[in-house]
Formats: sequence, structure tokens, C-alpha cells
Amino acid sequence: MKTSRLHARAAIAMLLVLIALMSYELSGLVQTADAIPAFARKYDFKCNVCHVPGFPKLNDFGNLFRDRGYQLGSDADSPVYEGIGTGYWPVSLRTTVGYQSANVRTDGSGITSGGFGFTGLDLLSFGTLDRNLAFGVVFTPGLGSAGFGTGASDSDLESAFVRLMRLERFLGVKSGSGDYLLNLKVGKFELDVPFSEKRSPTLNTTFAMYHYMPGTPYTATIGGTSTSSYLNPNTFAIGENQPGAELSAIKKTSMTDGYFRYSLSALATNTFSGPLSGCPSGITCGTGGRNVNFYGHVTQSFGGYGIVTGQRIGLFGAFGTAPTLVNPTCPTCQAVAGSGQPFSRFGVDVSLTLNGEWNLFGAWMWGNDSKNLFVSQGIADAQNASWNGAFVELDYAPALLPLLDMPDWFFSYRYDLIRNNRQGDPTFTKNYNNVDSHTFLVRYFIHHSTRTDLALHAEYNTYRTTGVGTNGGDLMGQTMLVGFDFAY
Amino acid sequence: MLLVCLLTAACSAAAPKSEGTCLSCDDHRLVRIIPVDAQAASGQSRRFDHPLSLEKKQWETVLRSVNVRSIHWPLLGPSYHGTMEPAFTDEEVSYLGAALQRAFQEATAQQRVVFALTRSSNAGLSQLTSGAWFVEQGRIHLQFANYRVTVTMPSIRQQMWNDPLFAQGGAFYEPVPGAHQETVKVAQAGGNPFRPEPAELAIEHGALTGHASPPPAVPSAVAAPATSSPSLEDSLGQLKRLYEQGLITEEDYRTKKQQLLDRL
Repeated sequence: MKTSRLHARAAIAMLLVLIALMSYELSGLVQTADAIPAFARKYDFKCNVCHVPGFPKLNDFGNLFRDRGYQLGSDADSPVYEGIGTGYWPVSLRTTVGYQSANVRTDGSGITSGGFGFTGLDLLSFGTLDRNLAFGVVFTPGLGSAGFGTGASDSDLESAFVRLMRLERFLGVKSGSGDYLLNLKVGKFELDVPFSEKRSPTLNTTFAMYHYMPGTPYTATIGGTSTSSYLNPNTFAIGENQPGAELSAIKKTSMTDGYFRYSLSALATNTFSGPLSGCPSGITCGTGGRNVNFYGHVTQSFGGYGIVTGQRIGLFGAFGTAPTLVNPTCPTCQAVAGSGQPFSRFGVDVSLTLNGEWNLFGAWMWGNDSKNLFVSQGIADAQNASWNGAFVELDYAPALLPLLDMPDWFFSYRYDLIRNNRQGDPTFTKNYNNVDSHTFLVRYFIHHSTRTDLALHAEYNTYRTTGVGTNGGDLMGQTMLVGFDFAY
Repeated sequence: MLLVCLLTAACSAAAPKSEGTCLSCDDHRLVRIIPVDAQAASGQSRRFDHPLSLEKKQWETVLRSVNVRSIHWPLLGPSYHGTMEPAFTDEEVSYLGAALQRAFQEATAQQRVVFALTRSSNAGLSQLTSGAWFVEQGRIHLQFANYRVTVTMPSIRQQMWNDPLFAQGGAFYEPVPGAHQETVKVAQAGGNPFRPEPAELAIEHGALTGHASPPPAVPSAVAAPATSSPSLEDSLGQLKRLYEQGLITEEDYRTKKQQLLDRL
């Protein structure tokens, strides 16, 4: 009987792979995402204790577990707990293998590619060093054939942080059971964005507004097409992991039968500080500026956490000063612009649930970059760049798929959009770099245990970036990924 | 198109329905009588030896005889087994003993009894155990669809509550047959290959409890609707009714009753 099940699952898998192969020749860059079977091994849990079936999206319990510093509040949290699950070692790995193809065209010409391969590799370690002392490390090794052969991945510590939980006790504040009112995270980490990109089920489609940068054409696929752009020295994106320190809290609110959360991050790097290089002799080029940014997010949920049960609303924002990179073609522009120039991002997010199986969520964000950022790059008559970004996603995770009577399926659709109000370079049209992106996703949990996960993943994305071709045409991209996503 | 499919699915899945008569149900445990046809997921058509009269103590003896052990089924390769332990706690034995006694007095040959229990884990989370009981060919059968499965998704918990035979993938425990017990392979023709089959244990309850087993029934797949010999319970019940109706004397009643009991 087990054999028959395996045959049936293999048949489904082959069917989806065939569908993919018969589709467009597509390809794309792949983002990393987290699933941590080490916790399943530690607690002897199945993966869907913390994840919506098909991982990596966290369910309400998984979100609370993360917010509470990877703790259940029991003796089992301790890394020296004698009853800890056998086979526990706080390290997990994750990758996706399969077939990916892409088609990207601009001004009537483009690139088509496709092939088997793998996304990249995440080596993850999260857990507790002791009670109320959490840590996290994500290492992504440099791999020459990552991204299904479309590009090598950088070797880096994507995350590395320590988190001190319940610091309010040192201020004489007694928190209720399950409440963590003052937690400090230091290191490099994913910001508390409205909906985590690292735990999103989409593998080859980023949240456009998390990474959007005025002047840089949005593309979700392989490069190589001819596009126009203007220089913007701001590299800050809320979707990128940032080095810094974060204060956060999670508190049960009995009045709403939900949770109140906040996070406030102070972020700074020394990447661009100090005297600028590349400055011709005899010319004062300025100091370039520091990269100091702040990010905050506050949410309140009602009738649950707001991802699987209940509803949630939130506000978020970022403010910072971006260093004005040296522009060798215009060294004096640097002095005109001065050091770090301001930018800001503000937005709202909403998450609605139905029947414990449906989750409709989305966010809207307004962004503004100072005109001096563009002045520093020698853009004549530069102006503040402002834009709106948004997305809405509908997830369906049925306990039992209707008609087919099958558990462990996950379906998702997301619409990303970018609308520019004003360009930093006034010679570009207002709708230059506007984005419309549609992503469809199906996942099936082939195998899950207290040790491992294996999911079949099929994802299709189509998008249009307006007017970024060198002849003013739109960039049209499509990506398809079908593969096996596994974690151990 | 996907959206239409999703919306269609939402309509059909919005309100999962439970069937059957609930005998002892609350937020943490339930025992319910359901028609066999309601168990479409199991794809079975079986006829059972119900009703069955066992005392609470006898049910408790049966319940205490059931043991489980942890198991890990890898996708490929051999399985791994843990140590044996009692399947039910004392509190669960007491609850199920009383509930099953009542349920099997009411169940018919076309019904079976499903159950679900909640237990707190060491980590403070709820673990669900669910399955079904029925009597077939003179033996009590226990089907474990789920055993101590930690569930945090309300939709999955609700599904298990509505259909205690809804098995979560990846069984972590299996019943260990003891004396007068054996595991049963369930024929799954027409069943859903994506749904794990419940582990099934057949128990010779007569040998365990000293209670006479009902005569074996012919499997329904080949059985004609013929009448079978009345069980001891039925005979005693009939005898008592005859006496209460004044159709037989007290002496006849005592004599005949003793003859029936001597058959044990």
C-alpha cells in the first residue's frame, strides 16, 4: 500500500514536471527561504506544527514560536534538556532542485533559457543557547552553478544574530505568560517586514516593493536585455537582511483575543563611510556619508495571530540616510550633494483569514528618495523620487482538498505592483519602471516527518516593467520553476 | 482560472460536516457512532457484529491491553521502532470504557464507533489520538488513524474532529499486538492513495475478558443477507424479555439462563 502511494505521488510529480517542460522556456533568479527541520527534530514535531502545510510559510503557532525566541516556554526549550529528541542537532539545510526556465524580452528582443539544476543552498541554525537567549545563523555558500546555472551565489552569512529575550525583567516589569515585552536582537537579520520573504512559499519571485529602487529597472529574471536606467546611490531595501540592532515585543491582548507586536531596528553599516576613493587629485570630493537607517513595524491582531486565524493590521516605516557614492564622472557632484541624504518608506499591512484555510494579505508602501541622491550622480535638475508599491496575496491551505480528498496541498496567487509618482531624473517619464507582476504557485507536501520535509513545487510568474527598454519599450518577463524543495 | 478553482473549493470546504450520533463529546474528547457509509475515505463496506454488550470493566481490560510503540517510516528503506508503551492513560481508559460500553449497546451492524482524545505533550501542546472501534468476526477491531499527533492548525484539528479517521500523514506510532491480538491489513481497493491507512488491531476480547465472543460473521464482500446464530447477549436479552412478559416461569428463566451461561 505504501508502494502504491509512492507510485501515485510520483505520477503527480511527473505530471507537473511535464506541464512545466511543455510551458514557456523560462528561468529566474531564486531567493532563499527558511524551513528549520532542526526544530522538528528537537521537539519531535511534524513540520506542520509550525508551518502551513507545504512549508516554509509559518502558521500562527510557528510565528509565535519565532516571536518568543524559539521557545515553547517549557523545559524542552533548553539545549541541555535531557528529554530532547534524539537526532537533534541545531543545523538544517535546504535547497530546491528541479527545472527552471525563463523568458525575458525588451524592445522586441530578449533571452530564453532553461535547464535543470538547483537554487542555492541554505545552511541554517536557529535555536536557544539558554532560556531567553536565542540565536540564528544562515550561511549561504558560494556555488558556481547556483540559480539553475544562471549565476553563482555569493558566499556570505545571510543572517547571524543573538537575541536576548524578556529584558523587561531587568527593569522590574513582570510579563505575563507568553508575553515577551522587551527583546534585543543584535547582528544581521531579516527586518520585521509585513510578511516575511524568507518564509514565503514563492521561490523565484521576490516581493517587488521590498526591493524596488527608483532608477533601477525591476527584473525578476536573468539579465542581459537592454534597459535604460539612471543612477541612484541608495541601496537600502527593507527586503534585504540588514546589520543592526532590533528591539521587539509580543504581547497577548485579551481585549482583542489577539497579539500586539512591535519591532524597532537601528541599522548601520560602514560600507560607504570614510573618504571617497576615485577622486581626481586637487578636487575635494566630500566624505560620502554614513549609512544609518531606522525601521519599525507595529501590528495588532484580533481573534488570533492573523495568519491562520483572526485578522491583523499593521503599520511600518523606514527612515535613513543613504551615502552618496562617488561618481568618477562627476566628482564635484559629490560635494554638492553632501554626505548621507535622506530617504523614507511608510506603509500599512493587512492580513485576513477565513476558515483557518484561507489567508488574504497585502501591504501598501510609499517611498521617497531625496533629490540630492540623484544630484550626487550628476543628474541635471534632479528631483525627489517618489513611488507607491503594493502587493496582495491569497493563500489557500486546505486541511483536505475538496473533491480529491487529499491533504497537504497549498495554493497561492500574488499580485505585485509599483507605481511611480515622480522620477529622480526628470527626463524619464512618470510611468517609467512601473511594475505589474502575477505569481501562481502550487505546492504539495510529498513527505514530512519529525526529521525532514519534501515538497513538490510549481511556480509561474509573469511581469511587465514599463518603459525601461532602451527604445522605451516594456520589459516582459516570465519564469517557471518546477522542482523538489527539501530540507533536512 | 486558478481563482475560480480556489473559490469553488472554498465554497465546498467552508463548512465541513460531521455525521453520526455523539455520545460523549466535548472540546477535548469524543465518542461518536457513525454509519459505515460515512467513511468514504476508508473505501470500505463492512458489516459488523453490533450491538455488543460489554461491561465498563471489560472494556477497560481491552483498552489496557493495547500497546503502541513509536515508529518512523522513511520514504525509502527500513523503518525504525521505539519502545512499547500503553496506548491509553488511566484517565483515557476510564473515559473510553464508559463511553464504549454505551456506544456498542446502541451501534448497529452498519455503524461503527469513532473516537478522538486530546492529551497534553511535555511541551504543553495538544496531541490528538483518533480512530474507530468495531466488532467483526467475533473480534474487537481498533483502528488508529492518528496517535498523539501534535496539531496547531485549527483547520486540521477541525478536520480530525469531524472525521476521526482523517489520518495525518506520517504515522509516528503503531499498535503492538499482544496476547490474543493481531494486526490486520486493510484492503484499500478504491481508497485514496494519498491518505494513510489507519493501523488496525484485532482483539480476541472473549479471551481477554472472559466474555463469550459472538460467532464469526462472513465477510460482507461475499456474504448473503443470511441470519446468523444469536449471540449470548441476544439470547440472554430475549430470555429476560420472555420472563418479564410472563411467558415463562421464574424457574424456566433461571434454568435456561444457567444453560446459556454454561456455554461460556
